Amino acid sequence: MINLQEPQEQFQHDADRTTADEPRRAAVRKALGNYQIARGKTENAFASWQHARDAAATIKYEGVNHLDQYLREFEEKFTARGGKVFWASNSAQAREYILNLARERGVKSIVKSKAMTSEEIHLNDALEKDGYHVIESDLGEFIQQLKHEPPYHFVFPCMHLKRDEISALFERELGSAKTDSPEELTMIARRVLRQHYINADMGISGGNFIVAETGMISITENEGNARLTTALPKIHVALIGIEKIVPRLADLSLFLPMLATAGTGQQLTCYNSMYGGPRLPGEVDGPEEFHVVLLDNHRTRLLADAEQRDALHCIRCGACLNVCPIFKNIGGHAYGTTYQGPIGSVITPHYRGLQDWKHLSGASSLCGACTEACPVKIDIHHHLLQNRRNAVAEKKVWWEKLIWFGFRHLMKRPWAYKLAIRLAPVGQLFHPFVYGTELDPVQSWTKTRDFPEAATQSFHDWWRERKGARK
Amino acid sequence: MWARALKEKVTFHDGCHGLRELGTKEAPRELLRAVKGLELVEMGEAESCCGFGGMFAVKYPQISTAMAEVKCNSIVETGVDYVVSNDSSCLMQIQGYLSRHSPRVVKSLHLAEVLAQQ
Amino acid sequence: MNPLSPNGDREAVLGRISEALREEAPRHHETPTKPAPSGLTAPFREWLPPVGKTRKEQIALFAKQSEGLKTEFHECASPEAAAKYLADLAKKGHWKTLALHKGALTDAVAGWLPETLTLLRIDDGYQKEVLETCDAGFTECESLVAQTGSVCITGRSSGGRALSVLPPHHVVIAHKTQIVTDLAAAYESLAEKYRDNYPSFISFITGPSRTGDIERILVLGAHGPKKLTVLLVP
Ligand code: SF4
Repeated sequence: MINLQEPQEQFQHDADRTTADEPRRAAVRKALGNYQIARGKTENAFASWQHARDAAATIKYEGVNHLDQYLREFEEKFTARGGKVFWASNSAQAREYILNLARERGVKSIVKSKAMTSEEIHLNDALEKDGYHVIESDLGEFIQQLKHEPPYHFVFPCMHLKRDEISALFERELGSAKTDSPEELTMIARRVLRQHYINADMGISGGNFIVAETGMISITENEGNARLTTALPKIHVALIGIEKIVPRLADLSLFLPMLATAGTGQQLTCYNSMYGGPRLPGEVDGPEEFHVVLLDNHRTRLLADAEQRDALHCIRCGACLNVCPIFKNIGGHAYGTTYQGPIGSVITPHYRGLQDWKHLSGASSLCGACTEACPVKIDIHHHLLQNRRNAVAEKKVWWEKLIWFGFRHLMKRPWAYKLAIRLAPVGQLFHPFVYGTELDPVQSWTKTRDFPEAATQSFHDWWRERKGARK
Repeated sequence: MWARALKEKVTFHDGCHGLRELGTKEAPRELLRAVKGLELVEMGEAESCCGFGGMFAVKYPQISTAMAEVKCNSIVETGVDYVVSNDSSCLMQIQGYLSRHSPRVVKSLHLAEVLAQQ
Repeated sequence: MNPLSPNGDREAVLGRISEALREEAPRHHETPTKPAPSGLTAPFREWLPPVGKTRKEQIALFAKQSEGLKTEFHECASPEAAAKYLADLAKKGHWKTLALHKGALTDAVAGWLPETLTLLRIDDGYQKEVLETCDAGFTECESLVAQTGSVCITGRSSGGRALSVLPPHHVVIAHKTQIVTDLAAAYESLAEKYRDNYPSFISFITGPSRTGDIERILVLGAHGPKKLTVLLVP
């Protein structure tokens, strides 16, 4: 997607368009309504979901706040088992490493399972430019790849599409017959992808957890595509953000159920697999080479912000998106980011520049539904507030400064405040002449909503009268 | 207004700050239930944000209004005549949307207004 | 860009991390103070969904979870009975080939299977194309997790990575004694068995492969098996 506008302008523009698309908003609302019901049930089956959240946050806090120590431990264990670890400071280094590897090993065809980190570093573009055949194997990602569109939601990549749109897409791209059955559509993708697993000579995946204690990575999925991606091709590369650390293997017995509960409302996702490197002697299959690329790409910038460091506890369950009224109404693409929704709005300014991405922190009513839903207790909505504060401290916006200057002086002087209250009904007499038009000073309110009428009696007056009457 | 009409159906909107920052969910409902002649009907989107959010409402009016739409449709669906809340900003937003778009008259009231009539 | 060392920008990344961690982060959570019940590795176990203490309760829970997951769960009186059950599945599904690995239980069952069913043994390697055309994969497992209805497999105990995911039907056989309460218990038994020598692959399989990617509607058999059968023998 070519994007010549500033991110902020683009955002306003896209939000105008997507909020006007009520059928799509309704479909997203319905899908997420079902999620909420399923999640509620699963959450209630916990002996104590709230305590489990505290326990999860405690473990993540330990991991992230000793990140160097645990990453070293992971590297040592994983390397001892025959795996290779590559540390990438930025996306260019990560891409370079994977491209080099593919070149050196004479790779032709690559199969990928879901990896948001690969979206983050635009890996597919780089691989395709170098002539490799790359195919996404997660159904949602596969559909988005055919559509040449980034994921809409980092857990449910194509949740915005209706079945007839997917059927039309398959008809056009794969030559399949028209159908309105989700099952048939899934089977079409299954048939197409099967051959790719078998032919591919390199598999690329992400990873949900890095286990320090045993030198493993853990991948959570429902479809089995990640299992096939890690089983059949002879080289495997897992591209993972450094923050995905957990100290011990047994910690997963907490995180796996919590990720499933918060992510989809399942008790456990269908496949939770831990990989400790390439095939070992005595094992029948598995890749000959297993590389883990540890990606920084500005995560250390967020790590250095102690106040918001807990944003790195994120297990990318997507719960904060699923409950977010902003997400539900503007959809995932309007954000213009790799990571959508509340957590994306928190971290993107750290990863890609505060001034360019601060508007996402402004585009929130701070309702706090995200924080309440987060399984690892990230203080999401307060971080949005902190981003706003930091952005203003760095660079003031003149018109906002002016408004607050006026407001402060009005509120500090009782006589001025009283005068303003008295003048309000007078001002309101003139309001109808410009109501809702470009000349209306509160047009961005009155265009879609009515402005409250000023009361005939101010609260102060009423209170005084009432007190007088009581005496 | 309200006190004289004794058989009224109301629905309650949970303001986000009351609900999530203060953890108040049941208290206002208990108070409302104690009001004679008043029937409390829960709406589907009771806990959804109304979309006010201070400057947000005018900086991103399209998003704010879309949120109000979801909220207000849920209010209208319950068939009530009044929506009550304990957050005046929410009420300004909800009333603003309802009076422009609602197919029938639904009024907003502050919880204190309801109780003061008792 | 300067050519990077084989392990990349290791020192730079680690350096930035330790620099960043100099300031302490605030906590937004309570640290659970309740001490862990003795003998448990994981102090959070008690917050998870409860599991009955006796094996009978655990098997019942596993059966109940299986139902919800659309896993076919069946208790068999003996390996012979399991073979009968499997032969029945094969007949109903018109199977031609069953892929399997060497193991005490799989071998015991295989001995009773009808000769009309071709067996593909994968222990000395296999061709991907051939395994893909098999009608089912038959494996053992490490444990069955009552709490979640999961089957724990590893690359060493269950015929590698592909046998249980490439064919359209996965049949697992386990002893009753392999039932464990929860994931933590499954990890514990792995730790006891393998110590520092874990297999390169461990997986918890919870029901047949599925997706909800199209309109969030559940479809079974996305890329992995459409069917999962768990046979339990005494
Ligand atoms: S911030 Fe919390 S709720 Fe949002 S994706 Fe991350 S872990 Fe899930």
